[in-house]
Amino acid sequence: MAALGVPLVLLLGVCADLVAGLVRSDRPLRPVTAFWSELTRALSRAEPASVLEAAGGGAALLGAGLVAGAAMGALPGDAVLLVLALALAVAGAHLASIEPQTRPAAARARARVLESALVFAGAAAGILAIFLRWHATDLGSVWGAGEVLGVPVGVGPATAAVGQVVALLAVAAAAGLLVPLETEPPRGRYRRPAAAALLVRISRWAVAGAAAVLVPAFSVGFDLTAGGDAPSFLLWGGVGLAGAGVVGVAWGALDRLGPELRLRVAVPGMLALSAAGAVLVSVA
Amino acid sequence: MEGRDLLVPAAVLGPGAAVVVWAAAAWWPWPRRVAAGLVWVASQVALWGVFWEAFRGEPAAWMGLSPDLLGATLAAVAGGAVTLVLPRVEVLPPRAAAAAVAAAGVSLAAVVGAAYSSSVVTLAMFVPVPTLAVGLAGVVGGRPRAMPGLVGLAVADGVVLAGLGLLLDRSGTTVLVSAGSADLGVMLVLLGAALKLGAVPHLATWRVAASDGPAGPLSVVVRSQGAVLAAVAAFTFAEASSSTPLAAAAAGMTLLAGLAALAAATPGGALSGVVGAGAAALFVPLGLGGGVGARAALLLLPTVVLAAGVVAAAGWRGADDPHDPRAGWRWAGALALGAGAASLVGLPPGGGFPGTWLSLSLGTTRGVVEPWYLLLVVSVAAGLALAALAAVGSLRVARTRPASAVLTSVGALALLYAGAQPLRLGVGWLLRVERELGLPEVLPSAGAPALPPMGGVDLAWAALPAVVIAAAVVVLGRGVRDLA
Repeated sequence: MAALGVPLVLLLGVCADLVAGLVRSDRPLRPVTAFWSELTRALSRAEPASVLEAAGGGAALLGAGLVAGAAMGALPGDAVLLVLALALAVAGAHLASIEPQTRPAAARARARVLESALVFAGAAAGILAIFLRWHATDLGSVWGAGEVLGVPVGVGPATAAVGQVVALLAVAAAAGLLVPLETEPPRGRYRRPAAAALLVRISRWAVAGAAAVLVPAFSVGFDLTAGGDAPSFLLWGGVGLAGAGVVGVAWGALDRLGPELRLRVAVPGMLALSAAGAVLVSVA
Repeated sequence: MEGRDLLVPAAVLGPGAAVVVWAAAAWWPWPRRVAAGLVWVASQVALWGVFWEAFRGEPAAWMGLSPDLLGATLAAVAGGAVTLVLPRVEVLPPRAAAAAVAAAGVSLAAVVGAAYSSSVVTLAMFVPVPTLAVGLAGVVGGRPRAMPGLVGLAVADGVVLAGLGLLLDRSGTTVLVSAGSADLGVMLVLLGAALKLGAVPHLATWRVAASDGPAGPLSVVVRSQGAVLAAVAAFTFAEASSSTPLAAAAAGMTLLAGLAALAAATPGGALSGVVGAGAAALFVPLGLGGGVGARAALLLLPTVVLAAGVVAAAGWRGADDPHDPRAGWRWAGALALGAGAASLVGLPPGGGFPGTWLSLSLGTTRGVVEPWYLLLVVSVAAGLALAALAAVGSLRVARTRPASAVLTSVGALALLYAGAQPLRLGVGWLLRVERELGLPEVLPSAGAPALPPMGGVDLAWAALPAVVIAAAVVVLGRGVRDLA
């Protein structure tokens, strides 16, 4: 069942990208058509990726797959593993997006790395805040409490529940910032070979999907490998798609901001959201 | 005299003997390499032989040097790490190469001697040797840019010797015995160890490693010495007792190291930062203490040393480095460099993952009761994430010819093997070391984190679709092109 993690995050990532496309006011199916265009370009002529891009794509998929496996119950779902696996996915996506070494590219890369690291810290704080709300360190304990007390997001004091929702929103919003920027640079800049563009797009879906899969895990989660009734699975899937929608909205809105506004407005905003969730959970 | 009686002297004196053979055959490059290489390999076999005897519970001894299992492990791993960088320094211009090879052999012998010693005096004798050797290599090699770092290393030596002096005075015996707690002497030794490991941004080993002279790759042997000193201070002197200031300082250092890695102007500086972040994170479980903290540190110590060797061997760019920036095997070096960096920042499936997982899990578990520990965990996670992202742009600097590519790939595979938590890690080596050191017992039934519950099989299943998809895209693109 752990092997199903990667296909799951890719599915959620595609959904998030479609929603992001709507928010960006692009053609709604642009992510799919762009993927198809890159695929046909790769099939028609040899445009290979580099070793580092391939390794980055693989690392992003592995990290996202580990997060999804933990969210489904196929892998141990402890807090630290989730954080480290998410870090692997983000680092892999950045590696897959590596550009040829020019001074402007190096400056862009440095700004993106700083932005991603700050956002990752906020996402990690949000994830840990949710675990703190349950006085637990792994998803199994959260689900166990939910089995006894009810749906995890709705149990306990209102402040704690609100704090958990806020923290979840922060994590979902973080995905929009963690995903490396658009694969197709403006005219005149470096144009990626087709295989490299495919890897970048898949990596972005992986990061977005990894954040989206945490939404059902923390809100209506249970051990999918242990089985359950159809409504529970459907609820899990529905919340997962809703999570992908939230990630997509954040992703599309943040893409429209541009690099400077992202760093000056969006990143502090996301960090504040995460901190608010942590505070609400702590005082409950 | 039995064969096993020769193991310890061969392990301690072998690196120096290899250097003598290398120097004696200076006019014949290839005979020199073969002869010295054979002696070097023999010394490495002896190092692992000493490890094996200690693992079996029958440690070899020689002239007051009686290695325990942890010391034997660190010595063997240090030997491996130095072996990784030797092909890089051996091909430098003659003067630089001679200085670097000599420094490598002499300082490794000192590190092995320190790892095997059971006396404070013996340990103190070996402390300045790597600094002197690496310093001479830097000066003779004609690259004085490493000098500020060497001054820092000299200060670190002084700090360590001061700490050892305090401990000697307090205990009243030259034998390495417990001081009962993490007192001033222990803290001084740990501070010196941190400087030598390169955990403190822009000081000591950090600067030496980022320099472009022959002292740069030799920083790995100084880091090995730092690991030995940290182990002695934390486990022998302090008996794995906790120190909240140490844990907090280590978390802050990890964050600073990550920021410094990001701000580095050169790829060498960024890689120095990556190793620094990994080294700083090593001190977090030492500060958290107890059975779990000690176990996390035990898992991190050898992997930090080996990963630092892989990064130095694959990522160092020397001013006189004859390696072609477009060397055909550099893709292997780049992948090995990536595996080394991933190990240092604790990402799965790197070798540093089990120790980092344990360390952060301990902090998270304590954070459920005392929320400030969560701040510590977030700081460490942020620092490691910064370092991981800063490493991304540095991976393309790998310049490895076939010998270096093969060696660094072997080192990377060893790290990935350790990250998959082979059975012997949990049942064999780890338990033996903990029993030998008399560390507090880890009780999973009490809720203490033991080892990451995810092993090689789980990782393999999760990795399978990722590998398949990445491979499919590579096939679609009809192969791979040069590094970006």
